[in-house]
Amino acid sequence: MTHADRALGWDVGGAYVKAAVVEATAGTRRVHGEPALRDLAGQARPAGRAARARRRAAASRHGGGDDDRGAVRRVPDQARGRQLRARRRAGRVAGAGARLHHAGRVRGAGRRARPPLDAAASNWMATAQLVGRFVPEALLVDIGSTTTDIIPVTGGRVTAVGRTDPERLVAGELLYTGALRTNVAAIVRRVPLWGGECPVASELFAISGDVHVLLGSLGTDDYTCPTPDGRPSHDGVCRGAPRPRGLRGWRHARRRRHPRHRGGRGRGPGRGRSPARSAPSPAVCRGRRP
Amino acid sequence: MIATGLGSFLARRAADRIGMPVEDLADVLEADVGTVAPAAAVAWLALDGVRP
Repeated sequence: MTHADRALGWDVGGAYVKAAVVEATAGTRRVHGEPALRDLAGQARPAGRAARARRRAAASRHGGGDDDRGAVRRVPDQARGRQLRARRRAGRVAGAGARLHHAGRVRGAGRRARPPLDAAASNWMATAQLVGRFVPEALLVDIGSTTTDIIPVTGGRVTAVGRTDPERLVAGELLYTGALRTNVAAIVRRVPLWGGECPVASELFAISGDVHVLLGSLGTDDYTCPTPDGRPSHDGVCRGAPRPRGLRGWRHARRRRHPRHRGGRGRGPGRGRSPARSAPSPAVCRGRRP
Repeated sequence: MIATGLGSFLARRAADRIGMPVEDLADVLEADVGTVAPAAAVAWLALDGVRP
């Protein structure tokens, strides 16, 4: 058996704070955890979920955490920001102590704040170490909302080349492409349109979450980040329908290229209608949820 | 391949495309880690007695 029957883990990222409690009961383990979106002030929300996770863990005798790569975006001094967050967390959770570093080592509470950069972006190491205990030869692929981790495990050990984010990016073990928050313009340069290929604008008109919800790969409940235009995510599916997102100057392009608008007949009754009132293109609305 | 995360469906598709066997992390652990795999892993390792 183990030292305790419950333990709490933290994964502090720039966009999300994730807390998970693992309980050992009768030879099995149950995981309770929820991601909580951070607001601009860096506080987790919805507070209820995070608070519940903290309360569950309040009686546990162990706690650990790591700082995700995004945790530093909103503080001018990255190392200082991590120190402050680590202290705040340790103060909130009874018995909190250990901190995982990206080298795979665990540091105690007393040394928590000394090498803050070593603990940054180390969440991948925790997952990979755990996988290595179950599957000696594996390729772990963790595709999150913002990034993708690709981690080789050999002989039960993590054999990734990189340790820090830049090292991992260079090694191809970290991709800044996720299933939710990635700008579509960072994924594709062109999209098929009207028999041709239309370049996408380098603007934040649509994110990968819009695409996956539109295609039915993700549900709207999974769309847990703000939409680019601030509208509800279930509207997001149709944002691209009457007005294809990512197509700069689409009104003019439509008039120029679409056969219905060729010939320069101008605005007359039944012509030149606002495309917003036009029937959505079936191609664009494919996969739209009711 | 062990797939996890919100976009694990993409990993599964990629594995299928190249003919690589793929398994979900939740199936490996026999516990639903959802989208909080790293936090759960930290807690799991702590529970296993990984100490400073």
